[in-house]
Amino acid sequence: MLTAHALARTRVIIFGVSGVLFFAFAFVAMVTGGIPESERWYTDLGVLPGLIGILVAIISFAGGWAAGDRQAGMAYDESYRADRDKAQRVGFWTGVWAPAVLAILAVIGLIPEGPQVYTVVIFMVAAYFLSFTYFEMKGEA
Amino acid sequence: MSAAAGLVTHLPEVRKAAGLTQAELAEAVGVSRKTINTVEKRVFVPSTVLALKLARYLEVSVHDLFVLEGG
Repeated sequence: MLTAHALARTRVIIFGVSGVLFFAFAFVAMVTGGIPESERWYTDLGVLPGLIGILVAIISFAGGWAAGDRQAGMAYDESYRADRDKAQRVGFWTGVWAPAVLAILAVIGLIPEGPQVYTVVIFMVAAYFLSFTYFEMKGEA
Repeated sequence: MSAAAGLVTHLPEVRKAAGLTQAELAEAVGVSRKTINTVEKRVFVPSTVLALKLARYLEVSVHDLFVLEGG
């Protein structure tokens, strides 16, 4: 059976890896003006973040189920909820500021002009995952 | 400023006096070791329920574990 510690460690790893992947996707989308669409959805790189998100959810729920109620409750306790709330605030403010920052970068010619909605959304998710990972690791130290 | 500014905790001393590790105390009161660690480092303010659980398990009063800064 998974312990609360193993569950929390697994969460840090998958959130950290996902955060890096989401950040990389957002960066590529930013400098290229968006992920180019393909004729077939399963070859479209733009769907990958969504699939990663679903995978993270599946691993999280499966881990909680395998650990049992008590261990899962310990892993998802009140300090987890506090870190999650802080990370959500980071994601929210990233969403508030990202359009303005991207617009400035486009105006000065560092990134292509055009709709950057995809970039903003993926940056928000990356900010959530990465900041949560940072808060969690800081609390463990 | 830390989240627990204004709150002084004696949890590390009381826990060590009871011969417990952070992990053992966490297991006993049903939270993660990280929660105990962040409470002891004054990064995280525990809920009233958790403060009461800690006090009950350690057989002390909540005031023996947590007091307001400056009395």
